[in-house]
Amino acid sequence: MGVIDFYRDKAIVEKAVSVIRSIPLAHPVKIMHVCGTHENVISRFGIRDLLPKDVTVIAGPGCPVCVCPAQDIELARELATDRGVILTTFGDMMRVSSIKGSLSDAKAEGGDVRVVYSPFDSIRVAEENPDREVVLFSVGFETTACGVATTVQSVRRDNISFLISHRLIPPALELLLGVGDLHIDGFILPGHVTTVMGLGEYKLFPEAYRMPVVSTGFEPVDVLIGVFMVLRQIKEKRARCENAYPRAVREGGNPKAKEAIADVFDVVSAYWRGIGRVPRSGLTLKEKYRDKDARYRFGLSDSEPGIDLNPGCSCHLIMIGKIDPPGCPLFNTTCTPQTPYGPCMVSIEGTCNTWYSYRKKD
Amino acid sequence: MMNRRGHKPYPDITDLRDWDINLLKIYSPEYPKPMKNCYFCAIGPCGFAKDDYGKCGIDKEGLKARETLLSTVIGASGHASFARRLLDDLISRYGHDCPIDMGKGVKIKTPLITLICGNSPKTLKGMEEVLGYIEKSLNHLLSSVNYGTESSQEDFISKALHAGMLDNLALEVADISQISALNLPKGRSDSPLVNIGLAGEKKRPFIVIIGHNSFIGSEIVNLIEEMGLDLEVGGLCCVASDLSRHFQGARIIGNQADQLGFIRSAIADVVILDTQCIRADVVREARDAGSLVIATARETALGLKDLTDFSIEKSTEILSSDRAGIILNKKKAAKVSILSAISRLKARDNKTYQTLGKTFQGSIRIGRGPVRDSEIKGIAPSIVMGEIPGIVGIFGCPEEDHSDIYEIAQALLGKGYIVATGGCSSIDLAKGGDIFRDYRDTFDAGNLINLGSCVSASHLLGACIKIANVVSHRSIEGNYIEIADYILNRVGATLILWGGFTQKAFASTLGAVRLGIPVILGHRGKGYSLHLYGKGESSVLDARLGDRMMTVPHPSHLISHARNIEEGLTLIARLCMRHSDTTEGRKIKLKNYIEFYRNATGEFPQDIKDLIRTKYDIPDDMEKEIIPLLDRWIPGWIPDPTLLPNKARSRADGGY
Repeated sequence: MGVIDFYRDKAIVEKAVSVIRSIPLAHPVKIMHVCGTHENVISRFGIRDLLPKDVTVIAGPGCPVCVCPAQDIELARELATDRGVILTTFGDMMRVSSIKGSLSDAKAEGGDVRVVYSPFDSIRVAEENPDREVVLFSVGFETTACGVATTVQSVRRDNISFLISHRLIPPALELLLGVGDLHIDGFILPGHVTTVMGLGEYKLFPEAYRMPVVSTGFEPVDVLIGVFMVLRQIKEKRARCENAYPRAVREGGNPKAKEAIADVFDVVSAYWRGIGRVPRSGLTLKEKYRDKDARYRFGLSDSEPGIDLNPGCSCHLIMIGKIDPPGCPLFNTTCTPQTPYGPCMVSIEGTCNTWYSYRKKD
Repeated sequence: MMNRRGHKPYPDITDLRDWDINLLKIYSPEYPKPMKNCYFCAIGPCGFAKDDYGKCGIDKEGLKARETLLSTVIGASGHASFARRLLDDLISRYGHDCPIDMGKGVKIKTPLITLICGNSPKTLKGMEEVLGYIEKSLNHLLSSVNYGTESSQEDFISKALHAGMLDNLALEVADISQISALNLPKGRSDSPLVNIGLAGEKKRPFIVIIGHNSFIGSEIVNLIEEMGLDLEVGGLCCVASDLSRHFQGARIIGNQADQLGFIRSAIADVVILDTQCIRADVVREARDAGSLVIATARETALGLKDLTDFSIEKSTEILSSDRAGIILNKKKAAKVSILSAISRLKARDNKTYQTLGKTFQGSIRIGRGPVRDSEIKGIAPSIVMGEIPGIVGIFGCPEEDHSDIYEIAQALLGKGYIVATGGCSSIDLAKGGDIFRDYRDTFDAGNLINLGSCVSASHLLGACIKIANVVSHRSIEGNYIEIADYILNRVGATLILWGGFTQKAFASTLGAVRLGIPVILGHRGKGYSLHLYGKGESSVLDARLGDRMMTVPHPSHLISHARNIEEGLTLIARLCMRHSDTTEGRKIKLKNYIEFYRNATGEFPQDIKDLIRTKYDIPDDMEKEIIPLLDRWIPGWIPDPTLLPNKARSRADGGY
């Protein structure tokens, strides 16, 4: 049995579910995850259906493409269509719309927009086009940020720069606790983010908010163990920061990755689509890398955040866990992956896209 | 009546009483005005120095709370009456069907009306329905003051809070009606800067308007343009602010505090009086200075002869001889004022504006009106999380020494507070220097916004309602209590009314307080009839855990007063703290509080351990000073705060 097979093994899943069902709960429990990959695993393997009816797992703002603000997409479009640069970006970003259109639209309008699979691919594009400016439009959470950080550190060419739109997970969790009316009982933390950053910055949640948090992996058994550990804390009435993903996550995270992020980025307040400006939740290139910052290199100025969701779109409510996708009247009617109306339907990391793929009959 | 969602649109005078009682469990009423005797009815007088009860049976607290209700109803009726007169004027020119238009950037057009009445009027006619509700309710509230009616302290205060809420509602009716009908600015940032004060040589006939209703100003300006004349029009007080919102050529001469000096300078050829904030000696002083006076409001008749039914020629002639009169028809008043001003100038020597006793020059942004939805969306999480340390509204009446609020605003802007102002306070700020030029006017951290005149204070309350709506997604239609609970516990906003303010400002104060926004009265605050101070220990429900958390109140007081600038700043920093502040937010707010406190007293605040919930709240660079003060400190936690049991999980269905 390979490593993955073990974490998908039916007998082990059944055992984990039985242990979860044996935990006596005094009240209904709502657990939130904040990761598109977690939503994918949960939906794909039908984990919600395995849990006791009093245990609900909801999705939070875990899709970096969904939370990318419309004004950043407009800047990327401007670079591609008006400034003559080669704009590289990750595939999911192509169809997310701003008020002026998506990057796919920009490409159709003649902009040179190219999909890359790794930030380093952008360096290759720059090498192949020495007479052109190349800009990597980079979105993602801490996991992606460390890869981009090492790319920034290693770039030696002058014709490449970065349009950074990275976001951080802990401030989003704090916002969710401040919003009110959500009544979340515990967080399942994204295991890849904690692999990079460690658990230190998450201790705040049990210690200051009495909120159980468990770092969790991405296979069905991982998720069930994460859920179990949250429920165990609730039963014991003791909030802690625990690690259900020890095969990848260390207490201190990945020191080299953290060093790279700290070397390249400053933490700033940043806009999240549909949510607003969240304090200390974004990354920007440090002063010493200013020559690699597309905003400075091209004199781009951020516009005031305008309309970032189409009228009637409920993505902002889905992103903070107020409603499930079927709670949106447009889900699976006007809004489908083929004709996405809101950002959560665009990316495979988006909650609506995932629910459409696996749960549209619900 | 409650609707099916549990909301109460058009609440009757006791419908929101439960919320007020909730507030009074946390905040104690104090009555700074001495009241030893009661002369209210003919059964008395009753001496409360010796007796606990009056002959009617009322107790001391009831007596003082009744005075509070009376003051509040008087104040609220001032704004309601103004709103009614203005609305009547606007309907007479633009018709009942004139649409309510707040521009494309404002989706929640009427936040207070929607919150209280459960709907949003589409036309001026719809505004009449809201005003009808206000007038009816004020009537019932005033009736409660009658002998043999209400007697409970709590209910008098609850009714005063209701009157305050109606006052706020009237402010919104007035400003949104005039913004829509007169096409005043609809929330634009980078509002134009205009000069205030007077400078240079007077060469043209000068008409000055004092009061609140800018409709007469609008009539005068329109007529001057129609007749192709070259006259100067200016204003004192709120009418100046509002006139400048639709006619940038209008001079903002100053505010209430400048009234006497300006009239004595004899620069005005004609003084037009509207209503409210008008000095009682204005007619005598104007006559002495050789200026003509036209009173245009029934509320401010001043013993003058009514010239309304005379012809324009005859009115002008009588005015010339009597030197003062009433003309209620505003078109006619405009015509008479123009003709009189022209003829007066011919008969008088040229003057320079420097003849005004106390001259000043500065610049002010014209009132921008509401805060746009996009601005709210941008800052709402930062406010609720506490990264922006607070929204501070500086309103109220002016002071002879206008430098106090200038210093307060500068200090707050330097620490990233959003400062919003309007009315006489905005003019006081402009007198201090180029503060409006120095700061941007987007509704964001460290920026200074001029919303407009006194009635524009409603937009600050509206912004808080919108923040609650944007972050919590709670509906606002008729949902007053839930939104007020949200603002009280999560939106770090504070109002400061520095000057020796009027009954109207007092009524507005009580309305803000009911909505969860604390108010600091300036050094004259002891002259007003109610303060609400936080009780030392209090509790708040943690909605998520279902636990009741023992804590100090946040905000620490609802109505308090500051004796000087330093005390005011310290109070602001403390009153902007909320139970929901994140750890980073609380660090910022604590640091501000400590710095202001130190500046005021030279010492470290000793109540610091009441404000630190967990070790994460301690500002990074203050650990050495704070940790020794945490002896016997018991760490708490950050709750999901509410005062409403229905918003919290009960222990039965959850808890932790």
